[in-house]
Order: sequence, then structure tokens, then C-alpha cells
Amino acid sequence: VSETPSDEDLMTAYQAGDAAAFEVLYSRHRSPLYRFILRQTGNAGLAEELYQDVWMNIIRTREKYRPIAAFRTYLFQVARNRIIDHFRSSARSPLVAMTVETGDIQDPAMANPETQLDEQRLADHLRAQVGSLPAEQREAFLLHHEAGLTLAEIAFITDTGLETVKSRLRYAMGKLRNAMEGLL
Amino acid sequence: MSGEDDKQEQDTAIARLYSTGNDAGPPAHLDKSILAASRREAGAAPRPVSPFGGQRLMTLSTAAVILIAFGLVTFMTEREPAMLKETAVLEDKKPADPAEAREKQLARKIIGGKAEELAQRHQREIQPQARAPAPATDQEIATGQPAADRTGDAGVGSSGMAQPAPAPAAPEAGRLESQADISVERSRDAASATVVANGTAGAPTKVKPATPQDWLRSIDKLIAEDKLDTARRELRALQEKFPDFKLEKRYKDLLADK
Repeated sequence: VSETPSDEDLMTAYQAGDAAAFEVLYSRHRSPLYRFILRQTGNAGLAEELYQDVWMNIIRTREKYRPIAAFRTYLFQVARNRIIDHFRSSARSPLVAMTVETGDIQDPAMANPETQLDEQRLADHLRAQVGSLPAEQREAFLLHHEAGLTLAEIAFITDTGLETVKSRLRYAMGKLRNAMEGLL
Repeated sequence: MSGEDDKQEQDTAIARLYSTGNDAGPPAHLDKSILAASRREAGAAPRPVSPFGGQRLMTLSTAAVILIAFGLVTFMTEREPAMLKETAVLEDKKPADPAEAREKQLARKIIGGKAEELAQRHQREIQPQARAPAPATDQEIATGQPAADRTGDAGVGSSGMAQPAPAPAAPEAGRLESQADISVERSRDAASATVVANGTAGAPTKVKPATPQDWLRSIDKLIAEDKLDTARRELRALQEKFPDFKLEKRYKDLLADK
């Protein structure tokens, strides 16, 4: 029985100079991380820039990583901090950025209520609604559904209580239910 | 309950829908760039990372600190008695003689270190007297003959060591104590610091019994030891000192024998 090495094992191997271990690690997390940044920024160009920064940070500071926490938690914490730094330096709110980007997405229900929407368009509509959530609720939603983090991990990354995370997720889901009412 | 179930159902549907077609990923050029950088970093500096990394250094540092602390404590524990000796010489030299103790205490109280030094010197001077408090004549006192000169026939036991005379011991102690007090009092004056005990610098004085009875006890001892010449000398000294004291016949006979 061949055991799949854990993220932590791979990162430790990369710390020891094993470049192949990093490639495996990278392939596991590239898409969720990119989407998380993309949904948070709402801008593909900016998302690419920040995405690269995050990975370069992981590479450069690989010796600082300690396998006491899950690598995934560590990775998304670095990404979150990078996003916050970006919006702090540009004095823009991630929510504003998101609104601009999602403004291009046509609301399918509003465009033609009587049209039977296929699932893909419904999904696009849903993601547009996620983008319009308040920043904290959106962040909690994305970390849970995009990054696959547990509520405890989200609480750790966002430096908040578990109940706060639950509350944010509850509000987020409530808004999405309302937005998708009659479409699901 | 059905409302809660509906919500749960809707949440599941939303989660499923969200993942539909959610396969966006970074552009290929980014992947290449990042992986190239990772290889470059790994190849450029193949730094073998120890399983503990910085923790090993921390552990070593902690061990070193503990070792040094333990060594210091051990060293200090071993050195403490010697240091105590060095720093508290006076406490270590506890005098066995109560007169000496009192003298030291008074000296410390009154004039501190100087008096202490003088008291110690005085103590050295009176020490032989305390050990051999044999009675002495006024003639001896007058001539200033040292006690060592007399040890040939008085106050020396069979072993040749100085033996204290049992009878005059108590009054002797009282006199020594009073002398010590005197010496301390005198040591207040630096000018007269060299004059101790009976006022004779550097010349220890003979100690006489306070009463004729004590004196006679010492003389009896001399007679018992067949030191008759010395006994006669002591008897004459006693007569001179106490002219009104009536000697018994046997003492008179002893004097007449000569």
C-alpha cells in the first residue's frame, strides 16, 4: 500500500532541497488558492500578481515553516495576509474591488426571468452573489467552500472566535439563499 | 423543523452549485514561473534542514545555561565556608574564655576594628596567664620576670605542659575579666593603646591569688610537689602582702627550716 505523502511531509522534503516534493504540493493547492484570491479580489490580473507573490513567499521563507499546523492553513493565511496588505496599501476595500468586477456579470434572472437557466449559468450567478457578500462573510464562505478549511481553521486564520465564524457563515448562506430563491 | 430542513437542503444545493464549473486555475505561465523559482531555490541552496532546525539551537542554549547555573551553584556551595571564614574572621575565632569573649564584644561595641585589634593583641599577651595562673610573688611582679621563667617549678605537670591551678581559678577568671575591661577602656585612647593589662607594655604580669587562703592552697600544692623553696618564697610574699594574716605553725616551721 503506497501512502500519499501529506502536505507537511512534502513541505519538509522541500525544505531539505527536494524540488519534486514542492511540485506535488503546488499541484494540490494551485487551483483553490488561485480561486480564493480571484474571488477575494475580483480582478484576474491582480489575482495573478498576488497569487505569484504568495507562492514566492512560501518558497523564500520555506525554512520558517514548521509542521505544527496544516500546510493548507499556513498557505491560506499567507494568502489572506497578502490580500489584506494589498488593499491596505491601495486604500481600497476588497468589497469595492469585487463589486466592480462582478458588475460585468449579467444577472441571469434579471436578464430573462422566463429563460430556463442551465446549471453553469446558475453557478456563475451564485459566484456573482458570493462576490457581493460583505467582506468578512465572503472571506468565511470562500475559506470554507473554496479552500476547504474547517471552522476552527478559519477562526485561527482570521483571528476570531469559532462562534463568530459560524455567525458569518450563517449570514452568508442566508443571503445566498435569498439571492437564489426560486432558482434552485 | 421543515423550515430548518429546507434551509439545510438549500445550503447543500448552494454548495454543490458553487463547485459546478469552478475549475478556474492560474495561467500556465504562472505555474512555470513559480515551479522554476522553486527549483532554483532548492538547487541554489540545498540546505539540509535538521529535524529540529532552530529548536536544536534553542535546546543547546538552554542546556548550556542550565549547566553554567549548576556549576556556579556548586562552586558557590563549596566555596561558601571558605568565604565565610574570609569575611567573618572574628566570628570564626570564637573565644573559649568568657573573659575574652566579653572583651571582644565590648571592643566591637565601643571602638570597632581598632579596639578589636588591640583586644586581640592583649588577648595574646594574657593567654599564657590564663593557662598557667600560678600564684606569683610581688617580687616577681616587680622584677617583671616572665611566667615562662617560673614554669620550671610551678604550674607544670608531669607532661611538661602548663597546668591550671584549681583553687585560684575562679577569682583568677574574675580578675582577667576586669583586666580585659580595663584594656578595652584603655584602648579607647589610641595613645595608651600599647598599655594593657597591668599597664606594662609587652611584659606579662604574674597573677596572685586574691586572698591568703587561696594563696595558701597554692603553697600547699607546692609543698605536696616538694617544691619547698618556691613554697617558702610564696609564703614570704604572702606575709609581705598580708602582714596581719596569721600563718599556721607548719608554715612557720617551713619558713624556719631554711
